Amino acid sequence: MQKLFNKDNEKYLKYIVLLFYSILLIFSSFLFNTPSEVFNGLKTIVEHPDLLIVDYFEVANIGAALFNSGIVMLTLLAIVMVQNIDPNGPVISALFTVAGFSMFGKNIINVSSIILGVFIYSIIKKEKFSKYTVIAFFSTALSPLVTRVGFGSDLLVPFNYLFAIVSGLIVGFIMPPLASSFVRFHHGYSLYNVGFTAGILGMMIASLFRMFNMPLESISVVYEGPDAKIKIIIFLICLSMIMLKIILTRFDFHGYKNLVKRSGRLVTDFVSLDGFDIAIFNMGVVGLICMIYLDIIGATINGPTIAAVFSIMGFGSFGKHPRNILPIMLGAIVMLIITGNDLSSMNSVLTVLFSTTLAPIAGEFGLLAGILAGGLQASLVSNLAYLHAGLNLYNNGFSGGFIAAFLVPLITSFRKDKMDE
Amino acid sequence: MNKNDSIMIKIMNELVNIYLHHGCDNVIINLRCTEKMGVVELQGAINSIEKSVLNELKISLNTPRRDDTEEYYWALLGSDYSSELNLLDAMVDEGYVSYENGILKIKVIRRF
Repeated sequence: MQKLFNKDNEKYLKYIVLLFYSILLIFSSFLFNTPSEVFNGLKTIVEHPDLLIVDYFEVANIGAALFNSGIVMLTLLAIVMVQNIDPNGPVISALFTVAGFSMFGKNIINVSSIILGVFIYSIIKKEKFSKYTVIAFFSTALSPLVTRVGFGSDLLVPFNYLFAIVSGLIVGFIMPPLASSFVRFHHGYSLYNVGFTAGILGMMIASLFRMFNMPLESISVVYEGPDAKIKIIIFLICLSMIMLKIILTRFDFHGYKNLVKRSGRLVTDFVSLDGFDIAIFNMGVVGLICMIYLDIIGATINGPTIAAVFSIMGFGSFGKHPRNILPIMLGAIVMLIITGNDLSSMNSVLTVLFSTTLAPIAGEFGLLAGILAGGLQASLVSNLAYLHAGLNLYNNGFSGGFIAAFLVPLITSFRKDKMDE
Repeated sequence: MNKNDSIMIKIMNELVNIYLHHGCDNVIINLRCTEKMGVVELQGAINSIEKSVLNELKISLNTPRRDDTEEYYWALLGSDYSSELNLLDAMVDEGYVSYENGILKIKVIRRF
């Protein structure tokens, strides 16, 4: 059985596993809606302005959202496979994050134009696109800008499509140098680095819109309907990842002890360091933790919550594990309870789950630092969405960058003093 | 300064960190950059270093280079706030580590 998994076939095994999950999303869409409902829903998804928060479960239907997610993940995976990239932690985290956000904000049109913009950048720099693939995938954080420009105005066909694509190209073109520069701001202690970069860029774009008297009206469309079936599917995806590890390398969990000891700070690639089997097991475990938390607080499973769960699962291969996410989540939960927030409300759910962008702080500096970071994140994140007017889907990444930049120098300064003594 | 030079300096900083962290107070550094590659050689006296650290270092420096990781995260290398061995391994092509008679020697090659 162990021969199923070795260094020679590891890359192809990863391809097969990732293909499986993208195809699973596509096929599961027909459990919810008829093919015609799914395809009509897809058209609605593509043409709907997507400022934070637009839940595709609500504006279209669950089937269309799942189909959209599967198609986007499959397209991105094809880009990875064509370039013969070995899917490591950054690639897997990007694939799952984009797949998750394809249930609330990303679709094949707005994602493709941004990726194409990064591709043009790589051509002009005379570099291989494989160098920029991860940045390209994460840069789709600003995909709401594309649909806002194209379909949130009175432009006629085909000018709306043209403007949408051009705005995506511009965003994609300028993201690579910005993303690799802004990572220094938070020293790698916020995992959603592009979320921070996209927040800064989104803030500048939103201010230009406002300056020219084109305010970006806020949108909040969230699905609150029955969720039993979709909940079972997400639970099964988490469990399948845990089972996959057991099928591949049986019950050998020594590697997992090493994984949870790691801080998770950028760049901690669990796939390269601990192996794909251990990394995917961790993805299943952190996904399960999120689903159990959502079940306990009675939150509805919809597009945004699945995006959060998928994002955490993706980063289960690249920095997040139970030891570093739980203190952050606890800090955010405590802050929300103290300030009288309903934990099952959409904003609270997203804050708690996405606050795990700061997991490396708990991983490096311990439980108390993690709780503090989570609490601060919960208080800051709600103040920042106005700045970028919802153009940046990774709002917690934006906030997390500030929290890490604020906390890490303070903590390390006291830590150094202690060491000097 | 071009990007490759900046990266070589950051690699050097990261390696110097290892020496200082293990109590070395005199590190001899030789940095050479040509059109095709950059080479950093370091040596310094260290009283004791665990075998596991040496093994981890050897494995890290000989893990296949990752262009995708490098482009996005290279700016983190040589950071004040933590060691970045995980990133170093993605950015170098070859690495040699030896520890004999209390002298730690590290040589790293990065092709441009």
